[in-house]
Amino acid sequence: MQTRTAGISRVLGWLLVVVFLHAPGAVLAQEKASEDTPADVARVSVTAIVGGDIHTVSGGVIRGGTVLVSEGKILEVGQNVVVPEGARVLDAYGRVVTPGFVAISMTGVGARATQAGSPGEGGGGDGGAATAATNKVADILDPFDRNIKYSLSVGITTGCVQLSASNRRGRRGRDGAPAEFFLGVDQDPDGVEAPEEEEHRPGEEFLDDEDSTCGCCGLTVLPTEPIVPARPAPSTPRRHAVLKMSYGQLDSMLVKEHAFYDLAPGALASSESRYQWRADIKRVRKSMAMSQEQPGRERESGERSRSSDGSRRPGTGGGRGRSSGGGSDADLLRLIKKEVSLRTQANTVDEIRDMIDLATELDYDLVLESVIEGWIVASELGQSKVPVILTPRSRRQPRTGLEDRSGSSIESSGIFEKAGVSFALAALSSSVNLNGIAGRDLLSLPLEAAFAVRGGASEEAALSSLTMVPARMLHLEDRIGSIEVGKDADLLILTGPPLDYRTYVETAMVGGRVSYEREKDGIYPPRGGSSR
Amino acid sequence: MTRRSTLGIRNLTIAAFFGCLVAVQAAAAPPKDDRPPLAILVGKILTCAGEPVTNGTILIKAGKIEALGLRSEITIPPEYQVIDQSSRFAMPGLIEAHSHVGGSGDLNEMVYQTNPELRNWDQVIPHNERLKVALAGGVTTICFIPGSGTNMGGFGALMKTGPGAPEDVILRAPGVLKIAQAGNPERRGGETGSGRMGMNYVVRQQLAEGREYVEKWDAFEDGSGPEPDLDLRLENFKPLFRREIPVVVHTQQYQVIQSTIRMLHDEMKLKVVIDHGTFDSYKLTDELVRRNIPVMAGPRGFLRDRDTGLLMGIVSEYDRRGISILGVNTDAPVIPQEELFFQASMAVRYGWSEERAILGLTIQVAKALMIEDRVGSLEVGKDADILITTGSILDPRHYVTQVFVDGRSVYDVKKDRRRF
Repeated sequence: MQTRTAGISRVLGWLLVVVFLHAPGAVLAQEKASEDTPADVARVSVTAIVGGDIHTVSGGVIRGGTVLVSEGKILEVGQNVVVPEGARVLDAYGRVVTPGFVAISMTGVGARATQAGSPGEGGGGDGGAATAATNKVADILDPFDRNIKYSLSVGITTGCVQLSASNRRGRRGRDGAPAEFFLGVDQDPDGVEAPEEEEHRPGEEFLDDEDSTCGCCGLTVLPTEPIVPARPAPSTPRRHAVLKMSYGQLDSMLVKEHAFYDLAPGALASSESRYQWRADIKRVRKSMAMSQEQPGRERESGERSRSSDGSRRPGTGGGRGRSSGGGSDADLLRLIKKEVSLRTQANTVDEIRDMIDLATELDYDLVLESVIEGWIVASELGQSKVPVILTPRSRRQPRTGLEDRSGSSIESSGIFEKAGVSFALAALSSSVNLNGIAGRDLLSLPLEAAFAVRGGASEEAALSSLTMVPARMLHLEDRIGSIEVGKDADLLILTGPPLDYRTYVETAMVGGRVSYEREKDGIYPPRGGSSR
Repeated sequence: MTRRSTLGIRNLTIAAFFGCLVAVQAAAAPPKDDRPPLAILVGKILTCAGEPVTNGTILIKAGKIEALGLRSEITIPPEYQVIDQSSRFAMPGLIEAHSHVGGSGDLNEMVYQTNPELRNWDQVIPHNERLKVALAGGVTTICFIPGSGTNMGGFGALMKTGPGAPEDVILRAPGVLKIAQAGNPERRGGETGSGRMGMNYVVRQQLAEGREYVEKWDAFEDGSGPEPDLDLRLENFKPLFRREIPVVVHTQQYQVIQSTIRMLHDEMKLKVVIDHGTFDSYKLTDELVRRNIPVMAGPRGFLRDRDTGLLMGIVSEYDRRGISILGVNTDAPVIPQEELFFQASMAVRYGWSEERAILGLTIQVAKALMIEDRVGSLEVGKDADILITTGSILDPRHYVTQVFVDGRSVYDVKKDRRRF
């Protein structure tokens, strides 16, 4: 007994010596000090994620590396990075570090119904331009939305959140619906898909009697029948904002107030609407040339100027002119200046070619969504450098007589990669759904990347489709999408390879701040002992 | 084999009586077998009957597994066609416990609340578009059942997903009885049975009538009673009450499963399969374990616990509490039939073990449906329903490259466009 105590104290003594001799490496002791001493708080705090295999996305994998984070940005990345004194250390030994995932299709997260600005009050009631002009995304942000935590729990740190009504799935939006529907601000018009119910109430899950539901259990059945060209639809742009999943931190949530110029499927399907579209773009381009603002800014990322938060541009509130299509001239201006891309669904080969041709002719950036038959024209997509938003598990049967040349292909992801088409991923549903069906809603986004690998894409391309590609689509590649010095410190510590279906997010950091920890956040049961 | 032939004779009787087009389980002399004997060389064989076999060989003859073992221990006769899959995995074809995509989509007759007279094997469309994709997802056998629009939707069939005439693909008909408790039938309005008290009565009343009918026939066949009149409406109850086929029950939630156990197992003495068993039902596992009732959970895979807010994996919770025959289902087309494996993948993500998940896609389902003598594992004498995959079926990154059903290659990515 005596000797053991003596032994322990001797070891402790040696440890103290070691600590003092190798101060920078004495991580644990220093961390404790930095938490305890008020003087350290004032200093610039540094967080170090140590020991993990770092999938940088832009620069390969760094085995057993360190990422230093300071003031919300990535300070240093590498194998031989010295952890400075006083740094807070997050242990990632034996685990994997990746950039936070970017969800390009997201609804019902972070921007929820609030008391602020109900329709009919505050001048938002006359629809269209006035709504766009007076309603700020900032007014409807909810940094304590539980769906933010759920999103973080699968690694989503940035989302392109759709604020306008969706008619992508579910019921079709009617003509004459308000020009712009704003979740939480406008009243839910008829024919607008309601946000999915989060609460489960026993018994009520069976009440749905829609045609698209199962005859056995009443759950939604996704369509698999052959695709048809989209019917002409109003060309009112739908609104998206880019939000950081900075749980509890309102100030850092809004990244970009306008993410895309998003048109409903079929908005440019009729010759009339295309005529109007050309006329609108030409008119706005002309007025832009006449105005004092510098036209034709180059697209290269380095030369593009952006306000620090990328939002609240003066143009937002303008809404001066109004194109007949429904979008304001300010919206079109953003498109023409290539600050945002045109985003629209194109499924058939003809639709895809039409959209590429129009974008080339009128010179704007294009992002195509859904692209069921994109694999057939992959080389054309690749040549025109049009990125696509893909859901690898979407399945539509081929048309009769065109069995090998129509419908969806599970191999789309591989075909796209070979043809040089960059693709981002969307889950089967863009919202968080807790009705109990696992692996089909927004929370399955990383699993969709595994399906991309199933379709022949490389693991690198699949990881990129969750990170760098959507970042580029949002014109935010200088801030998010990879682990590089100077970029936002949106980082994940994963329990295993990023595309393994068994991998869990252990820690999610948003803007340098730990925003999710599996062990503490109470979303999933603790690991171990769960199964026999 | 005896069960199969007696069923066949019974069905022939019915067919003869009523001139039905489909003579299920034809007992006539089988057509000449055109299948060549096969020898498949495999990197890793997951037999679902014991330990995996590394570097193994499977011999197939006349649609059955003739031999299986280490490559070094199996001699391939010269007439066998050799298929080299030595860089791949092999496993038994997956079995679906709850599917509606085996034929025409009219699942419900919504006039009466109980419909024991209905059978869906005349509706079977072998190898239809959905089943072609299902095969590519590794599903080779499905339990094709009527919907749950009424309390007793009718009798379903167990069928293979490969091509062939209906009599070739149907594994057993009547395969199961379908009963739906709570939920869907409650969508009806007005009549008895649209509430839970009413539906419990109509189900028990109908089963009691069926039991009495079968008892009369049993007495007649024993020689202890007069010959009863044939009643087509009740005829399919015979294998059910003789416990040759199970009843698969659309049942979920604690309270509803309590009534399933009480009525169908304890009172009616039926072979019961819980086919959904979602929401908080897993908290009733003790009662199910005591009666050895199988659970084929899904398509809902998790529950947000009311008290803790945690997302609990339903399958892993059943597993942890000791259900021995445990599997997953898709309720296709709710979850596409080809994503049966993914139901198990998600269950693993929520805490189930991978080993049990593989069994829960194959042999456990076969046991629940009482077809473990035919399918569900790779063992000598069983149907040669074999998947060749690039890796674990549970990992979405891996996929099925070839499928054999009854010893015939029915899907091969070398020849066919990849379907999933």
